[in-house]
Amino acid sequence: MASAKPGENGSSRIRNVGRAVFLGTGLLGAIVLIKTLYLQTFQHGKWLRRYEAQVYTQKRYHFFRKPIVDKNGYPLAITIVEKSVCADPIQVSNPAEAASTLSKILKVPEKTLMKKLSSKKRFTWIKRHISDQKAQLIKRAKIPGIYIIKDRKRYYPHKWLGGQVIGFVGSDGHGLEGIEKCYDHVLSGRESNKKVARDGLGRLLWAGAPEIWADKSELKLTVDSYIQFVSERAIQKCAEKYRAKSAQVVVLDISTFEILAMVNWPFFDPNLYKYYSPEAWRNRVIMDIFEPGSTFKPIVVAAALEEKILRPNSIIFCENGSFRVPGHTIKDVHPHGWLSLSDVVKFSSNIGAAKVAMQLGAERYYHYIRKFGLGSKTGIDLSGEARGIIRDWKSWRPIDLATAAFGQGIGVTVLQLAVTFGAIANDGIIKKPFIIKDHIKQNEGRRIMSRETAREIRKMLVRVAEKGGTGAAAVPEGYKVGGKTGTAQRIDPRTGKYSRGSYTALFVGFAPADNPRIVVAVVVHEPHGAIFGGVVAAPVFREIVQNVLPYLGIFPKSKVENT
Amino acid sequence: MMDRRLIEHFDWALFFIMITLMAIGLINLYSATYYDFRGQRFSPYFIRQVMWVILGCLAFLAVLMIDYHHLQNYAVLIYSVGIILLILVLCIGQSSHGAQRWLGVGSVRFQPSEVEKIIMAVAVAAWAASDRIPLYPSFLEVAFLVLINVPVFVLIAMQPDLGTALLVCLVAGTVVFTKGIRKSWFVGGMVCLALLAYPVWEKGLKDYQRNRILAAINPDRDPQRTGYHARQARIAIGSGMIWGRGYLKGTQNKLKFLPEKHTDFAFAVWAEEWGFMGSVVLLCLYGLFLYRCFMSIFLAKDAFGTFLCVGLTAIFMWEILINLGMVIGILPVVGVPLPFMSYGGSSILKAAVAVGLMESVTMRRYTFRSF
Repeated sequence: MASAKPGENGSSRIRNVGRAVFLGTGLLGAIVLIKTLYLQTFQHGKWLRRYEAQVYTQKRYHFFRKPIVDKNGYPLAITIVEKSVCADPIQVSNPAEAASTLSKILKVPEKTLMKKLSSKKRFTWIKRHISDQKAQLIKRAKIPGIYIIKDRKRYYPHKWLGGQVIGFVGSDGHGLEGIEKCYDHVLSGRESNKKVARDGLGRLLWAGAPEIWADKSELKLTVDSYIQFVSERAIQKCAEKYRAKSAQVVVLDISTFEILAMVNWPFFDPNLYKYYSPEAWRNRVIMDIFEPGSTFKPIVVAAALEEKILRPNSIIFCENGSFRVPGHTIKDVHPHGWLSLSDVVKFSSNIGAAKVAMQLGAERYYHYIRKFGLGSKTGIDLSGEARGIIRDWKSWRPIDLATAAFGQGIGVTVLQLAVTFGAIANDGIIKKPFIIKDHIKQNEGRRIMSRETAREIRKMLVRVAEKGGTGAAAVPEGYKVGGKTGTAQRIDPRTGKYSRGSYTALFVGFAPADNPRIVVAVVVHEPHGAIFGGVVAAPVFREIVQNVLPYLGIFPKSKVENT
Repeated sequence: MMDRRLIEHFDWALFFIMITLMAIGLINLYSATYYDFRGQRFSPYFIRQVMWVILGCLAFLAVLMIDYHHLQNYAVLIYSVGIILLILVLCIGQSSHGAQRWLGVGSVRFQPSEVEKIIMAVAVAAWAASDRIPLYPSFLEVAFLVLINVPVFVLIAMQPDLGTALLVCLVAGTVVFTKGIRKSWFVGGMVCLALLAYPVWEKGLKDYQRNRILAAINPDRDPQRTGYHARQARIAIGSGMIWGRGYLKGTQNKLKFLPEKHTDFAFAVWAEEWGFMGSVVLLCLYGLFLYRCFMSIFLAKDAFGTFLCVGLTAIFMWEILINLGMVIGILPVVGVPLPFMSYGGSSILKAAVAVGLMESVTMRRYTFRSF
């Protein structure tokens, strides 16, 4: 043992110093303990608050915009996720190079890209909704500061089907037209704030889907895609054949006044709304007014029957085609002598209708027009509906009363016309038309004429569609239908007068004749080659009815059975 | 050759406290690295640490076998080996986090500056116990001690690892203080340090070091950068409250807020999961451990044994105090591990060898029974 033993003196000294050091250590340890106690109990709240502040954050979850579906649940508008390119311009080291690479892939002018990439913002869209292939190419190019993110997009799987009715959604995710706009609050409506946790690297931790995502509800329309499609196909054929300016169709379910189809031609694809003029976005069925022409005659006849001025077989002298009203002459296309009231409708005599109106008088006739809901909104659950134009009866001159009988000097919408016929077909009860399936509950009707009057008018309208009537072309094989043709001169918007070569061809009718299920209103504006409603519009009615009735479970009667 | 008396004089308390601390360290390490390696039953850190603990226990047994008296004879050699290792680290060492601190053989890495703490304890003990040195060493003798300290300090500080370098000096200083130092010298030294503080603060410290000290004084000064470690550690400890969040439920660790959670900030993980009760238990264990270490000083019968124990105890004492002080935010953030709790093979090996040496001293006290 080489080491020396410490002397007595040194040993006790070391003991004392050792004790002192140990005590010092104990003291420092006590400080550590007290500080820990302080942190973990007295200051606990403070540190816990800081902990929560750094871990939890409120994240806003947006509702996945609800789909719009048709009557049978087939989607008309859905929300999909697509890839979009965005940039953080601050991180883009070489904007020129990045712009040229991106412009090659995205086919966007280099200049616009350059402008975006050299801005001082921290976020900018480069291009939204690109294909997967392009996204792949951009990813492979590995440009710093350029990112591919998933982005929501509204998609309309049937393209133009009911385009104007459905409308579309702008880039901010809010509806701009049609049902998308009108029901924006229902479709996008809610968003929820949810407390989510972040980790130390700022990444969000998945904490389950927010409750609103569980809401799988959809906005259901009364529109039936099949009926809509059939109607669109029929009207397209006609409009292209007669080179029409525009054309509209409404198909109405008579028992409920549901809109089964609402067609505006030319069509509009909401997926590509930017490429259409705002004119093409318009839902003209409810927004545009026009003169209904002879399709208005059933109203004057209904008023006369209801007031018991005439009976269906009352005879009216039709002046052999030329009737003088103070200051004007009313003419018929085909001159007629004595006609029964029913034949006035069947052969669409203007003079006969004018005489009926004159017998009724302006005040009574006006009130009947208003009773039919004309001159006021039908109350359909869509926005932007037009009221129509019915001047007050006090300002009517005799000629105004006479022409009002055959729909001149009167402005209605296609929908109003269809609803009017709906009331006739529904035994005299008019209802609010609607297009959102849920609104069926609060739909009560209002009687506007007696059941007998409605029945008599239907009989007359069925005769229109019989052989020799103006609407003979409207009859599909194996069915009996009723309806009224119309041919109205259009007012030239420049001169404010009736223009010579510009007409509106109409046919409004119901089917089947004995127990009506649907009303179809067909309106073709400015057809070329033919102008008469019985020629232009009636075949469209026929085609629609022929396709729709079997679909509704009403099958054609064979000729053998019929006789 | 095994003497029954060796076992009779073995300090079982110290041994069991060490084993308990090692077990707690492993339990805590499992939790601290659990979420970084999800899907694996045991994280690679945990497996490696278990192997180091086993290796440490073997080293502990090996050290027991050695009669510590021989160390005094070979002090110069041991010191030289230490210096060579430190030079090797600077030449061919491996680096991580911008510091070159490790010697590597394959996937096994070894941190010589940890072992250098023991080597310095041995060297300074040999110096203090040598016959030439009187109770109050003369200026030249202290200067000699300072001289052998300077290369070690410089070599470690160059890695850079200022925390370990300072710790080595503190250990040496503690031994000198125990050996005996004149009051006037002590006061003079303190005054010198105080005078040095200003130039060191202005010129000697790097920006990040200065910021760390400022952050310890006020952790909210720059919570996202320099104050981040201190702040996150305190959030972890504070949100543990009395009973803690529960084992494996410490979210500061789980959510990756707490940096260095398995090394320097292991105590924060422990305190969050086990709460104040857990902290008290751990601190009491460390208290008992230090108490047994101090007992080994008092039990030692010869000068070298005494001073060796003083040095080794000083290592633990300073490491525990500095680390805990840093984690709870009384001291600036310096890279000092918490013995047994922090991940690190060299650290656990050093701790096991140090305890082994103390046991070696305690066991052999019967050889002086005649005294």
